[in-house]
Amino acid sequence: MNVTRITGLAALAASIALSACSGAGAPTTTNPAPSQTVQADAYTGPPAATADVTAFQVNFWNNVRVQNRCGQCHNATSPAQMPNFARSDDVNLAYAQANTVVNLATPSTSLIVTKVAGGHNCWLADSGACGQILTTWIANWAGAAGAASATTVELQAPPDQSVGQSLNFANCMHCHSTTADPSVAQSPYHADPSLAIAYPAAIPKIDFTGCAGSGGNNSGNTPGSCGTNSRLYQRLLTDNHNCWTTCANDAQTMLLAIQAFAGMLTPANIDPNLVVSKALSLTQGTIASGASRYDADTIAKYEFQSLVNNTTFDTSGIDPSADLTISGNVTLAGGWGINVGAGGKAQATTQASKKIFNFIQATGEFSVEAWVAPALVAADKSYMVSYSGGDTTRNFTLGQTNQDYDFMLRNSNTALTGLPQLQTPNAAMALQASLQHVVLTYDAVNGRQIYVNGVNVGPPDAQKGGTISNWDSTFALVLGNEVSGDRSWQGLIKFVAIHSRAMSPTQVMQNYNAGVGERYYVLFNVSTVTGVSQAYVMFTVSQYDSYGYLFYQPTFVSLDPTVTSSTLPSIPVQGIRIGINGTIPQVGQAYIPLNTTIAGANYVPQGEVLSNIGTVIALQSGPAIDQFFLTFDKLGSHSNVVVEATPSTPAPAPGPIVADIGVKTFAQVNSTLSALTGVPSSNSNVNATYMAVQQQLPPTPTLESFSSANQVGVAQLAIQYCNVAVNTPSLQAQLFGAPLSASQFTSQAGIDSVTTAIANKVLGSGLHSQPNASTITTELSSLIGKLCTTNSCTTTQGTYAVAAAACATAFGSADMLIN
Amino acid sequence: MNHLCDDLQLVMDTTRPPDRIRQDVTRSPGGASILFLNNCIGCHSGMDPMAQAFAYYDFSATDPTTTDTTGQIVYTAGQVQPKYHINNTNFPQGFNTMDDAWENRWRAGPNYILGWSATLPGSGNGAKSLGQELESSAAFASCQVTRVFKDVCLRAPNSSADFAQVNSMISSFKSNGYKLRQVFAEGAAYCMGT
Repeated sequence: MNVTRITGLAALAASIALSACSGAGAPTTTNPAPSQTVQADAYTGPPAATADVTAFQVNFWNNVRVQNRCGQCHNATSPAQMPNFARSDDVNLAYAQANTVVNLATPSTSLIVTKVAGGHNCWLADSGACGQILTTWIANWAGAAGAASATTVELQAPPDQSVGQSLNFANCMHCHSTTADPSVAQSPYHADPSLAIAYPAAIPKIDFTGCAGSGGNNSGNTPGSCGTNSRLYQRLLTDNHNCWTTCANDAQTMLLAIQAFAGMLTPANIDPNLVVSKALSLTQGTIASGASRYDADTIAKYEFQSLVNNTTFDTSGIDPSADLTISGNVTLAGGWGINVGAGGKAQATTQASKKIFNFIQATGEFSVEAWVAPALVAADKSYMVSYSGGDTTRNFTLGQTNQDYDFMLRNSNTALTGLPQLQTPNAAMALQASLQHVVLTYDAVNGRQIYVNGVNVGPPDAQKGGTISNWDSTFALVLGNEVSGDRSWQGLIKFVAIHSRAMSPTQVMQNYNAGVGERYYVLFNVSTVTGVSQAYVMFTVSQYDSYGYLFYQPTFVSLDPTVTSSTLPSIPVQGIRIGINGTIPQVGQAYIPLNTTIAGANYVPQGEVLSNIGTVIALQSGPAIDQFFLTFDKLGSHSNVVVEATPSTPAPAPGPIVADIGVKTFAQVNSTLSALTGVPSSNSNVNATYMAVQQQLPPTPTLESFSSANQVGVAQLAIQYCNVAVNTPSLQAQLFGAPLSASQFTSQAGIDSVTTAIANKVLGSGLHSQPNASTITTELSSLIGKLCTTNSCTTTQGTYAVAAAACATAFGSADMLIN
Repeated sequence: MNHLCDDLQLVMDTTRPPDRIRQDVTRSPGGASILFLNNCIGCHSGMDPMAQAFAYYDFSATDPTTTDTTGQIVYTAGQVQPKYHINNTNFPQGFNTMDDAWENRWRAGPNYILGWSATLPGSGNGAKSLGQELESSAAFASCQVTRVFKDVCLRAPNSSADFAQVNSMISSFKSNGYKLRQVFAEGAAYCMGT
């Protein structure tokens, strides 16, 4: 984009803004003055000689020759600093000079980029942002000239480094154990009393990175970072996991223990028996730049490579730069990106945001592109990217409703709120808690469209055909929230771009395939092991997020052009492990099962792919420091097959002495009472009571777990069963041997007939231990006598009530309950 | 894990190779791969290679628009069900299911102690051979017998005599064609008292 176009569009936008609706706008805040952009004089020199010079002129030269950028020094007059690629007198001469400082195949490695990113006269607060902007301009130049698509990556041999030292350990703190109560036992069992169980469980949870001395000698000096990557420490510090005092104190205690342990150890060289490659770090690899993005219409771009004074930069190279100011819970993420927590947001000024209005009003269409990883899949009305004045007034918004993406847009067919929104179908659950490429496009013909990972997933836009001339130029661009702060979104944003055209499906797919973040071809030297000249096992590696590296597509390749399919010997490859900083992580080793043979017939100059699988390896000290290497179970004629130790089955531990008898559980109690009384469990009265007290009845048969609450539930159910039995004539006669009379309890004989019948029912036969029948009848007779002194036992109703009570007393007792 | 009497959490093993974890399993939930490396991988690395046994199976609900569970099992020999490829862009470098070849990765590592049969290969195709793999484990027999013991004796085995009895019942269970009736009888005889 050239400045002439900016000027024209600004004038056009001003005229549009005058006719746009006024009223609701962003909250009134003090905005910093927009950055001053000095414009270049109109070019009057010789025309561009070739198409590539034209591409240079449009995409690069017009941006750098202005007075507040490179043109201030690298000009044709004064001071005419060489190389004067920013001279304004002759674009063809400038082009010749520029070619000495740019690399069109890999723009980010251009001398001009590394020089400026390294601190040479950046015109912004962050020299890294200037480097990114220059990279964008060079990439646009290369893309317009077709250079990027025609280039191939030239692999470069990495430095020759051997694997460094590490520390091993022999013990650890205790937490989890196989001897714990089964209801709370939890692997890993690194706290097991058996060292044979605890030790291997603790290995993956302790990390001695930073413990070894610079000279490979620990000497008891443990630096502050020693052990801080340990999961045992982080779990207490960051997850507040079952701390025993305060988490900060407990985490520090754990760290000191790890550091003290580390102090007892001496650095160990890597096992000499391993079949091992040479070592190198991520940035010692070759930058992978094979896939290029479509950025011809980008008007704002955020790569989140740096955060300076709470500002992250718009690296689109389109003025004015709509830099974002973060507020609240927003931090820079590893591998580029921002982590947005609850309440956080990143917002541009309304003045800078106005360029979005200007460009999009000129075209009448636009796209919003983002790489996001939502942290929550149950989030209602959470906004990732919004150009708005508040939750009730907006130009456009990319939002999340649970597992759906929302696209709200103000146009002539929708409300000022952007509603009704276009939403991805519920059933598709297009939004996943994973890194996703999301693109919103709008044009009058197709209306709104939503692409997720390159695929159009949205339903057709019912409001298509409208115009966006009713946009408001006073709104602000905000990420991770609404400008009003009430639509907080949580997750990782790795990239955002706004384009002044609706991207085509092909362009969307191109940018999805280009990926996000910086990738490297990391070449592990295996020449010595394989005997093949300049032989490497190459991985494509990137920093996946703040916590891990992504390794994928291991490929065997030789940089020696004399090595061809006809000269390459057959090389067996088995069991690759990825090592880091002298140790081999236990977790994430996806290539252990690999078992293949590099066959000369399959070898091409780009190498022979060993696997298409990828894996994530935990980050330790960061991409600038972490040093990787490979080990092999077998490579060529060398082998060192890792045999896992066979764990022994722990002997069962005797538990506390428990009762040899138990109680009936809830369903058994219900069935037993039904059998004793003859009342079917389906009876509506007893079923209602059972359903009410079911969860109060014993859930387990052990006597130790029986509680008074269980007994209350049993009594309630027994009373209901007995009440139904006594008041049902046929069941009453069956239960007591004969129908009850109103005078049943006025004679001892009548009482005895009832108590004997109940005792016969509730007592079993042939049991080794149970009460005598006389014990029950005596107790029940006493009870009936007491009840008849306070209740009238001369009426049918009173007799029935006392009989039911006697029944419930016996049937609700341990005689029924003990199993 | 219901038939091995363990919660899935108790067989978590983060040290198994993750190469068979499918593409739909995100390696960076919410942008934090530390969650995957410390938690997700522990179950998925063992579970996903086994779940592949059911690659040709699906459940066709009578009315998929409701939560009604009536319907029928669908089996498409040689054809992986589409559900195995849902959300395959979550981690494109993950495992792409091509057939119903399963593998028991828990034969090595801490879960070796589940006692897998030495006469079986630990891998195969389809649900039947996976079922054989699980039911031939020592953990399966121990699970069933211990359950019977608890049902009949109203308590868990907790003494050396109890453990010896359980081992005896396990041997009997395996040698008598896995008949639970025999196990119940032996348990009842042991716990009936004097």
